[in-house]
Amino acid sequence: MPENRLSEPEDPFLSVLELQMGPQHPSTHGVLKLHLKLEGERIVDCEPIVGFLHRGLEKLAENFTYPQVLPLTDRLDYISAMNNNTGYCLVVERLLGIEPPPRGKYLRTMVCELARIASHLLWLATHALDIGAMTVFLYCFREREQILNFFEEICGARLTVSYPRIGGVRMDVEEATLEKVYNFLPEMERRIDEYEGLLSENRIWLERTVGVGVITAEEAIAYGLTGPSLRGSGVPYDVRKHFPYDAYPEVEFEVPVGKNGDTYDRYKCRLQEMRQSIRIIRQCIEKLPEGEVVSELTPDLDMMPGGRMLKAEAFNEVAFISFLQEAKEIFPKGELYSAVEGAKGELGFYLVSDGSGRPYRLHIRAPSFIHISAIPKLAKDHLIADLVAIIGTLDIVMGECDR
Amino acid sequence: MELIWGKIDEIINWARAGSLWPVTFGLACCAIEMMAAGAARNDLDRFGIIFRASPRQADVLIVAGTLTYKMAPILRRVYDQMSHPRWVVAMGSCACSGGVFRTYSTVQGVDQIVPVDIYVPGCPPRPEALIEGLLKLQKVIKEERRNWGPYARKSLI
Amino acid sequence: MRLSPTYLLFKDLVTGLLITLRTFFRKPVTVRYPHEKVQVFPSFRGRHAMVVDPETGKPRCVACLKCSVVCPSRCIKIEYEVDEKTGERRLREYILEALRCVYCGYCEEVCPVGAIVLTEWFEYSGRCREDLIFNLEKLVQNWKEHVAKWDKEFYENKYWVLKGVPLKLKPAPRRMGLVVKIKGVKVDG
Repeated sequence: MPENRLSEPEDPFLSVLELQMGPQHPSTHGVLKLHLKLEGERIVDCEPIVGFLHRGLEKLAENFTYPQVLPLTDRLDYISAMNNNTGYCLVVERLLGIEPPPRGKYLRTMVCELARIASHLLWLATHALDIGAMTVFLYCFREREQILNFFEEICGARLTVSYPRIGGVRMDVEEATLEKVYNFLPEMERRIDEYEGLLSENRIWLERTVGVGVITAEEAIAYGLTGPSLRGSGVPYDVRKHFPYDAYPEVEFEVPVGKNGDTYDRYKCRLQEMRQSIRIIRQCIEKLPEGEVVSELTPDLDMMPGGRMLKAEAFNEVAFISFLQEAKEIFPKGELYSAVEGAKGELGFYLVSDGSGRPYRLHIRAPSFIHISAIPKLAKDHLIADLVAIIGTLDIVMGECDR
Repeated sequence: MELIWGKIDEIINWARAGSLWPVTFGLACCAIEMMAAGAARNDLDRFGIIFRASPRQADVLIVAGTLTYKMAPILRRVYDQMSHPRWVVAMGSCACSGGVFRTYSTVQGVDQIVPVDIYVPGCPPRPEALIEGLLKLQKVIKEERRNWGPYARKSLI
Repeated sequence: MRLSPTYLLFKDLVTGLLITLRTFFRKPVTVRYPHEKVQVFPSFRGRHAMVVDPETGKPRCVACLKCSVVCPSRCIKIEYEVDEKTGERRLREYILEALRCVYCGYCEEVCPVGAIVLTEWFEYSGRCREDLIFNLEKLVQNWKEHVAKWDKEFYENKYWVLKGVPLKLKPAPRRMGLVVKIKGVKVDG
C-alpha cells in the first residue's frame, strides 16, 4: 500500500507487536496456542486458541457401550485418570440406579486421593520448572513414581488405569499394598514440608508468584473457575463437600482456601490440599470395610446388564434377539449430570441415554477448558515471563480441554 | 581404504549415538511418561540424552501422544527445522497408529507425516520402554554406513 | 519485607540449600535400567500373548469372539471355522494389532478360558509397523518367551480371577480359579 510506505516508520516500542506462543512450546503444558498482542514486553491482549488435541472423544463415546467408554475417560485428564473414571462411573451408576458396596466406595475414594496427590505433584513440578526451580521438578517426580508404583501394583497400569468400574472397582487390593500405601503417607508429609521449605519463603519464588495473576472471588465465580483456582480466591466451594459422592461424607477433611487470589495463594492452597488428601487416605485405609468391591447389578463388560449370562438354550436366534431386547429395556431413558472434584476442578459428565446400551450423548465439563478462558483476564498487563507462571498456576491439561 | 572409511563410520556413529538430543514434542499422555523418563528415577542423562526445547539443536524427535490433523502441519514444520542427521521415535499407540481414536480428527499414525524409525508400543509405554526404544535407536545409528559429509548430502537430494 | 532480618540473612536460601544437602546424602532413587532389573508388578498390562495348553500344545482360544467384541480399539480379528458335525469352533487365525491396543485389559477379563493374556513384558519396540502386528504364531511365541523367564511353578493373572468380585459376575469356567502350570505338564483349572 503506497500510503503506508510514505508514512513515518512507527516506534517499535509503542506499536503493538503480535506474537504466537505455542502450540509447540515447552511451557504451554501441551499444545495450547496463545495469540499475544504485546507492547514491548507487556501483554495488551491475549487470545487462547484451543483444539490442537481435539480427538473427537465425545463423538467416539457415542459408538461405544457404557463399559467401553471407561478407557476413553482415562485419556481425558491423563494426570489423574482415577478421578475421571470415577466421575464417569458415577454418572452411569446414577442412570442405572446401582450403588457400589462400601468397600468399593472406600477403595475408590482412596485411589482418587492418591491420583490427586500425583496430579498436584506434577503440577508443582512443571510449575516450578517453568519458573526456574529445577530441584523441585526432580523431587516431585521421585514421589510421583512411588504413587504410580502403587497404581501399578493395584491395577497393572501406571497412568491410564481403568481401575474404577461401573458399580465399584475392578478388583480388590491386597493387604500388603494397603500397608505399603499406609507407610508411605508419613513420608509424603515430610516431603511436602521439604517442598515448602524450598519454595514458600524463597525470594525468587515470592517475586515470581506474589501479586501475579490476581483474580477476585466475584470474578472467579463469574468466569466459572472451580477447584484450587477458585479456592485460592477464598471461595470454599468443593464438590466433595457440597455434593458428596463415594465415601467422602464418611471421612473428615477440610477445604483449604486462599485469600488474595494470586499465584502464590493458589500454590499454598494446592499444597494444603495434598495434606488433606493424605488425611483422607489414612482414614480410608483405617476404616476400610470388608466385603465385595463391585455391585452385583453391574453390567458385564460385554454388556449383559445385571451380570447375567447368556444361557445355553438362548443360542437360537429368536431367543437371542428377545434377550437383547430385554436387555435394552433395562437401561432407563433420561438425561443426567453428575460431577466429581477432579484434581483440576469440577469435572462433570452430562449423559443423555436413549435406552440403548450406548450413550446417546456424553458431554464432559472439563475444568481446564473453562480455566483457559480466564487466561486473558489474568495475563492482562503482565510480562511474558509472568504468563508462563499464570498458565502453570491454572493447572491446564490439554487432553481434557480439547477432548 | 575400506577399512579407514569403516573406522570413520564407527567413530561418527559412536559420537552420534552417545549424544542423542531429543526435542520435546509432548502432545498427550505419553508426554508425562516422557518427562518421567527424564526425571529422577529413570535418568535419561545417563545415556547422554538431554531434552532440548528447540528443534534446531536436536537430533531426535520423540512424538509422544495423539497427533491431530490440526497439529500435523506443526509436527512437519518442527521436523523440517531439525538439522541432519535426524531420527523420529513414535511413542505410544496413538502416535504409532492412531490407537483407540479412530475418528475424523486424528492422524492414523505419524508415519503419514514424517518417516518413523522406532515404534514404541504401549498406552502409554513405561519410561523403561521408552528407554529401550531409544537404546534400540542407538543400535540402529551404530549400524549406519556412510551417512556423513558428502555422502549424506547425496542422500538428501 | 526486604528489610526484615530473615531476608537480609538469606534464611530462605539457607533452608533450601540445607534440604538439598540432606537429599545429597540419601540413597539415590535412580534405577540403572538396562543393567538393573526393573521391578514390574504382577499383572502389569504389557505385551500380549496366547496361552498354550501345556498338555496338548495347542492355543487355548475357543473362538468365542468375546474379546474382539469388547475391545474398545477394535484391534482383535479372529478367523475360525465351524466343525459341521459337532458345531465346535476351531481357531484358524488370531490377529492382534499391538499398536492399536490401549492396554485396558478388557480382553483378558472377559475371556472365559484365560487364553489371551497381557504379560508383564514391556520391551518390544519395533522398527516397522508389521513387527507389532501379532498373529497367532507370534502370540504363541510371545507366550513361550514369557514362560521361559517365569521362575514360579504356576502362572496366574489377576485379571483372570478378579479378587473381591461377586461370583455372579464371573464367567462360569473361571469361578473355581484359573492357573497355568508351567513346570511339568499337568493343567489346573
